[in-house]
Amino acid sequence: MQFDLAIILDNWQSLAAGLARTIGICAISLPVGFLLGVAIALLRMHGGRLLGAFAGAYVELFRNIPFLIQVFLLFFVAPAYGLRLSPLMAAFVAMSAYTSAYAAEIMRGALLSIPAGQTEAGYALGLGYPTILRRVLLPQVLGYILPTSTNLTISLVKESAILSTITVPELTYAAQNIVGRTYSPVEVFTAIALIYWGLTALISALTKRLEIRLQPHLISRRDN
Amino acid sequence: MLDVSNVYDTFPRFLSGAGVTLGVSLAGFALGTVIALGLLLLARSRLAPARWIAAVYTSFIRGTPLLVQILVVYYALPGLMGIDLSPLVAGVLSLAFNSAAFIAEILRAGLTRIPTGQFEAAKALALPRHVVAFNVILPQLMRNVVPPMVSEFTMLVKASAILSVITVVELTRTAQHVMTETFRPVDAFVTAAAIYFIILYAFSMVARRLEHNDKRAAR
Repeated sequence: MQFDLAIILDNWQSLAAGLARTIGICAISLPVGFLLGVAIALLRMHGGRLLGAFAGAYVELFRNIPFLIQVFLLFFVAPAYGLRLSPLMAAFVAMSAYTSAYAAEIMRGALLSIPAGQTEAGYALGLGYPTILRRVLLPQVLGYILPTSTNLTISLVKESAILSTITVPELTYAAQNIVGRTYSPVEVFTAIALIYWGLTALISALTKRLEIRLQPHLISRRDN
Repeated sequence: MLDVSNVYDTFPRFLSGAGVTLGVSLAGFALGTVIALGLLLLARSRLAPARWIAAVYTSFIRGTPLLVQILVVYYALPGLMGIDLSPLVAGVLSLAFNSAAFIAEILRAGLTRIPTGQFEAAKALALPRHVVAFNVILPQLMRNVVPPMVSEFTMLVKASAILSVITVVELTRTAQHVMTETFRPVDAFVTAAAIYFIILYAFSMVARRLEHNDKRAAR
């Protein structure tokens, strides 16, 4: 068995297009999901009993059902209830919803890690909760959020491969197409494994720099 | 929309699918633990190349989608090695390869949490090596390691849904079969989702409880 590099070189355009689609889906779903996640975390912590329970159920449902099943529910089951989405739209919705559940837990953990005295001091100074959140809590939360969000981003990129099962033309789907045409799984699947590996390595390198840039006081001198 | 009688008729198949899901996860987890022990030995080796191998392996597993790992094991590995793997074997192997990287990390973290004084005290008492390993270190390691291991197993059960892509007839594949036979996607996937939720939620409650006890004991 030999490794035929020509297959990769002949099909690099479809692989590049797939990679661009993968990056695009993640780049849109991540911020949307994260904002939704912040809202759900706040709802869970301050939304009262009913809304809090709803937010809790939302988080537990998304975290305890495999992403593949979530995608199938959205793509095969939702149409029976009148929600018919194209594969690409289903991809955006599924990825954003998945992100929001995990982001909500990250946010909740981060907010809980700040001593209650900070919020109480804010109230004592006559600040409203939105101001306390924006000026007191969120700035402190950053150091806690960045590393965990990096992990979330990386797992989002990895989960996006599952979208190939509903024919979203991302990297894995492009690879399966090429394999279907050329019947050379060794070269193509090895190639996309390396591409994903490079992409996630790039993400962790970039966020590492971001961490140093945003919080130089938390990085020990030795590391710089 | 949900046809309860249809769900009732097909439910035994879903149960056996769930059994396969748990079975492949357990097999993958057990084999993964064995591979993880090997990885741990490599990572603590005095030879630099051995440490590199462990580091590259871990980085590769954490940096690539499980679906791609499964495709590599099922389609690419036979081509490279000249052996044919059945979907079930390929599935268990890829779950094992995947979980090994994470289990190795759990074991490593668990070991570093044991104070060096424990090793030194055991040595000062001239305890034989097997007594040190099994009666001194292992009980403490278990307490550090069991809660994250339960979480890792939960992750593996969740991840095993992807094995449906290479036609392992576990819970997700069962749902797909039932859907194509009955033309009722709602029943099939809602049932599968509910079973997954019950299994995964139960395991994550156990993991949470163990972590909680662990924190109390540490005080």
